Amino acid sequence: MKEKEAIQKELEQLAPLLARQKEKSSPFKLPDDYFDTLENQILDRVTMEPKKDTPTKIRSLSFWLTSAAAILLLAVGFSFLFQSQNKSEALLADISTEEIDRYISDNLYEFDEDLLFEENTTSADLNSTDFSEEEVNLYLEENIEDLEDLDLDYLL
Amino acid sequence: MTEHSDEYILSLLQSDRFEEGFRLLVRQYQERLYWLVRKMVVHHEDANDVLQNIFIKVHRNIQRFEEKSKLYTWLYRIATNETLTFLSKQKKRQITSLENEEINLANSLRADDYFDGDKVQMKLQVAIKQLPPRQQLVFTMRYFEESSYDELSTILETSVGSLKASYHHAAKKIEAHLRKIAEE
Repeated sequence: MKEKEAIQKELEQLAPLLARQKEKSSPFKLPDDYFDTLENQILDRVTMEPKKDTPTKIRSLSFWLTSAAAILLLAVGFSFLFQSQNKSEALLADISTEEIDRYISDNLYEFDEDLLFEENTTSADLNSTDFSEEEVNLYLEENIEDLEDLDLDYLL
Repeated sequence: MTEHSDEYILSLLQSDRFEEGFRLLVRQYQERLYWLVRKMVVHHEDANDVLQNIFIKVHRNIQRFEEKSKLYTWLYRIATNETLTFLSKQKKRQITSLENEEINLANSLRADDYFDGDKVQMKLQVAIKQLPPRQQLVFTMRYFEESSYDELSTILETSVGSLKASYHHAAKKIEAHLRKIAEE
């Protein structure tokens, strides 16, 4: 209860119009029986999934596939630099930039998720209000579109 | 619905009563996770897709859960990660301008049977959607879900100071948006 009051007080000071919006009822609706049927829908999907008995092996397979693909891309890159332009163009001709982008983005997500499942520990010193260089970079990256109106007080 | 402890659910998942344990886990967390996802992705159909994917991933990986963190924290991490992935992919697919994006969202909300907000609530959703995905997540979890900064810090593995900065910045931006609407 105390936390709710603190959140509301913070909001009233920060953004009074936004605070008033909270008094309205939620605009989000959903089908009446949604939560009664969801469990079975999920179970149906789960039973349709191929069984993965050896997740570690599968993960390392995906890791090696990703690594092999990265090495292949590097090899293509190097050949582009050091070999004749015609030969490199012939190598890259069959792979569109879009395909390469999609491949990297898809595999990076998978890799991130693997790390996420692996690392279910919390980072140290959660109460610290000091920013590490990494956090400042992350914050700037998130807000890069808004640098002009960025209130520097919050960063200091 | 009877609440069961996470310990009880985990004990079932580690026994030969796995399916019973998984069903309990879904029942216990489906509403909380749904509302978090729904407020991020806005439309019910999208929320349903993301939520189902979350539970599929949980099912696939629960055996690897080592209890270094609470079950609730682990589930929220998967949920936030999956939602951010969805939003990033959605952003990549949109090649329209910011202005068109606003119009598209407003139109889709008007046509959405499961959205019943007034004009300002609709504009509020549009303003929230303009935030960078991670800032949107921090804002949603604090404003709608009323999570404390300490909870957010544990789930998102970010310092309290950085989260405060993100939330304050997001709230001020949305306030400016609402003020503009009020003056129109």
